[in-house]
Amino acid sequence: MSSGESVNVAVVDIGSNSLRLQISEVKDKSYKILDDYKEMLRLGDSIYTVGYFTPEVINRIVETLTGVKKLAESRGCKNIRAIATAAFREADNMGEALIRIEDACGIKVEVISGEEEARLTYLAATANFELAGRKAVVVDIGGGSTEYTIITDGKLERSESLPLGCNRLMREFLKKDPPTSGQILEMKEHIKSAQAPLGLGRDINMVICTGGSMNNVAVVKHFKDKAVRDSNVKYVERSFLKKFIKDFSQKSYNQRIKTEGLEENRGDLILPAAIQSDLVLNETGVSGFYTLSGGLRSGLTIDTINKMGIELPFQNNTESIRYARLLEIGNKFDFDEASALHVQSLAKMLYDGLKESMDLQGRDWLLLEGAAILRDVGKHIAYSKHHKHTYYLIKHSELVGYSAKEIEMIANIARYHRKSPPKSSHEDFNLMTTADQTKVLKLAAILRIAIAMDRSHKGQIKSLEVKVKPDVVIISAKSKGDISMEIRDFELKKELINKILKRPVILT
Amino acid sequence: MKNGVFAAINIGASAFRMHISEYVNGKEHTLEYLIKPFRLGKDTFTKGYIALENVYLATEILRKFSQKLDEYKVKKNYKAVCTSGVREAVNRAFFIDYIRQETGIELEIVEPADEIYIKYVGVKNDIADFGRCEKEGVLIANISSGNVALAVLKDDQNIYSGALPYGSLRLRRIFSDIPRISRYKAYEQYVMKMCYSMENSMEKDIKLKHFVSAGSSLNILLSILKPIKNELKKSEIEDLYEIVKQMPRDSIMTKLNIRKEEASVLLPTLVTYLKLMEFVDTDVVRFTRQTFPHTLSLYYSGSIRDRGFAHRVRNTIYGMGKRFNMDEEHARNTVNFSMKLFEKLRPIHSMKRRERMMLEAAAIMCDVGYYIGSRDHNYHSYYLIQSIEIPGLEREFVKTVSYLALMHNGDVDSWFENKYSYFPLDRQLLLKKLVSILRIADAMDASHLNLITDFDVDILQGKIVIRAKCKKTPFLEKMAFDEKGKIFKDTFGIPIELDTRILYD
Repeated sequence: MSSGESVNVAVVDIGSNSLRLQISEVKDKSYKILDDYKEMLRLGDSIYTVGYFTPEVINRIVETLTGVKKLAESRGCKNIRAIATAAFREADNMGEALIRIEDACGIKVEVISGEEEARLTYLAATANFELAGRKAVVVDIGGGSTEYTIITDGKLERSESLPLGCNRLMREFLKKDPPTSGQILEMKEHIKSAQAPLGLGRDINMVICTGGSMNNVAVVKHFKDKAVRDSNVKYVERSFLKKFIKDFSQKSYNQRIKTEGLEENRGDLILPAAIQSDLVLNETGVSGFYTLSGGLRSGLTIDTINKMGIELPFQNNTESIRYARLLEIGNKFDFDEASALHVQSLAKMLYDGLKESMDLQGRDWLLLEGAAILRDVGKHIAYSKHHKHTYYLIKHSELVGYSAKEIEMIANIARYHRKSPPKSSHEDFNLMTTADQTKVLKLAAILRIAIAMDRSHKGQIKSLEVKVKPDVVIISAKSKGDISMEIRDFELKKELINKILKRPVILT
Repeated sequence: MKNGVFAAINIGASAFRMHISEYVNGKEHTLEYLIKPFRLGKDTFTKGYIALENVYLATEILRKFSQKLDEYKVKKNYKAVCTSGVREAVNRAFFIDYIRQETGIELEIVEPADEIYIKYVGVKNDIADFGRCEKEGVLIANISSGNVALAVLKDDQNIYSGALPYGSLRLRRIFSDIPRISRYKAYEQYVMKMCYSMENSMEKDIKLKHFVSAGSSLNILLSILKPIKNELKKSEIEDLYEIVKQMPRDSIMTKLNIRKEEASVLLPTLVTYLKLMEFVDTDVVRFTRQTFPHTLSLYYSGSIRDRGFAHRVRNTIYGMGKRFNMDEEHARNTVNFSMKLFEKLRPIHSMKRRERMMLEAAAIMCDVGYYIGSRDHNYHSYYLIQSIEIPGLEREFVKTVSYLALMHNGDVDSWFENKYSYFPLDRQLLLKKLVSILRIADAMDASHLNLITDFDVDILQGKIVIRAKCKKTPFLEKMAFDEKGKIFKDTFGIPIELDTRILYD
């Protein structure tokens, strides 16, 4: 695949609960998901009762795979990579089922081990979370098994596949509807003893739960909070999880499925998954967990792209997934990478020189960095009003390592990088707190002069020094070429920073 | 237009112009052309507003124009438009109101997209083989004092259009304090930025062949270079540039025998021409000698037309869809289905050609939001469609298409109850009619598998039945039809059903 070309890849993950198809477009060193399709096959129902796939179940798999194959082909995918997990691993007639599937729809299903499942989930986690400097456990709760992956400072430390899938647990322990407290207690003991050898200690400071059931818990919370902004990554506090478990333990299946946001097909599976997650939080002492929708299949997509010889930016930079994702989003919207990075470096020098006098600290630089890199992505929609398009694209792109509030701030900083200031009619700006508005303006003021200092897009100003004096701020730029454009633009853009610093800012 | 006199007034950033024409049996001839140099844009581009003393001076000029209207007994048969010099001034409303009170002239602000469109129509009707240029790839640049309005066309598609703040007077103002000796370098860098912005907004590797110019800046070049044919050569412009690039303004005036105002903006004008020729990779720029007010007169009197407009809009929208990575086959299916439904349902919907075009545009673009994200893609489609600027396409048209895309899936009733309840009832009804058809068409290829190959529509007593021929049982289509078809009954008062017949398996 040469630069600028794109290719679509399709992956299928056949789990014990659902079959999922993900179609992505790979372009340069970036990919974006085009389609996600799910069919609740609940293969575990058959495996954890009779131990094999009945002919009806195999037909259902074939029929569904035939459909997804057509869907993938209609999206221009030449091949489909399909994997199957615990349900297939444990089916007595796995071989027969695989042959039948390949004969009927031409898809060779790869049955992967629990460890491989864990590795794929790890790939997805590293693409979505800032894991540098952290010790994290990823708990991928499937229908048949649960994969535990310990990640230390962004590196996969170890992984273990345990037979603690929610369908399996539900069938083994929660036989009554609603379950009795004795059944729940017995299940908890079983999970605890299975988890014990993992040694989940208090040094773990981040818990990520993946798999459809835990995602569904997060969705229920999302509905309860009447949250507006949806994202792939959600956070659920343990306090919510405890209430959820208490509530669901007392309710029958029919009562549970009336819960807003709950998938009907998970009404029975969700409780064992929630209890297992709560036991992890209990062991680690972490106050909540993150969910990641599409964990395993995202990992599978990344792995498939890797197999095409493409390493995605975040994979060679485990130090900062957040940063790599900024570049990836920039690439998706065809940004001018060299210019973005140069403005980012100028912004950093300005930020370091001005942070004390502007009362900026902590994560403020990260906000400015995001805005500096993505400030022009809106041009991909149209040059006219591109600052507004930039705001929209930043707000609706899944930035990683930033909270929703921070993403809103980054979008606003980038939106105000041009000459027009915030107005009373700018609803999004006005919805922020006064403190956040002030911070946005300070950072936008720095960004404006950083952009001015690369007005010619030639990277003429290599370094600069900031001297803050009581009555003036002097920025001394070192350059080799002609910077008349930069000086001119600086003069036009310095008004806001002059106002904030309450003294003139001079470029020499 | 009917026989009579028509006047067009243009309030530009560096001059006020008036063109008075007489139309007799569809033929136009110019009665009088007036030009009064006045740098209204000087204030706007530096201070952001028009100083009161300049409002007074502008009023005096327009008072004379008003007398001219009286002289020719023109009462309402005129069009007076303002471009960037007024458009970008914060006190534009005051300016327009003051002129109306004092002179009786009703000024209108012409938006950049409309400005370039009118110029485009003028060029199209004035340059003989312009159709070929449009096919092969042409850049039309209207280089005026305030803005450079650009339109790129190729293969009957509007590839790019925009008005960028790089007009010659504006550039002169921005760099007025840079030493004369190196000012030309600043112009070069700045104009390169304009080309870069344009290039960035277009698909990569678009090759152009022709460069056509219009705008007030052209008059200066014509008065200096005096070309016989309607074209300027790059070598002539380069030679002129070499002579004047470091020359003081007064020397330029004397050497070339031009006015002070013209000498001030000559250098940025030349730089703009040269950089745009470099962008197109051509040695020749073609032009029309028609002035903007003259074109305005021809356009507003209906004497010149944009033939092939609908075709170009359609191609441009498809082009945009591709840019946003649409599923082309699904888009074509949705278009075909919605167009067929539109035709078959004519007895009940009483909509016309313009509405049909809206439906077609919405069918092409309704899924482009997937480009930003699959979650809430209809919102993203709505957003992306709102950003469309196709010269000549009205804003209301674009807005309607965006509303249709927003409502093509999801809970359509809640949109009407909440977001669009303030719309007049006739507008709500139009949206409901169109969205009813669009949702059905979209549902009929819900799986994106092209399972429904064709259909007939039977309008029966008490119900409408779509009899579809399918390759396979379209489960997803049936489900989507049931969900998306509800609004059809609420709008037209008759239920609609999907009856499928499998041709082969």
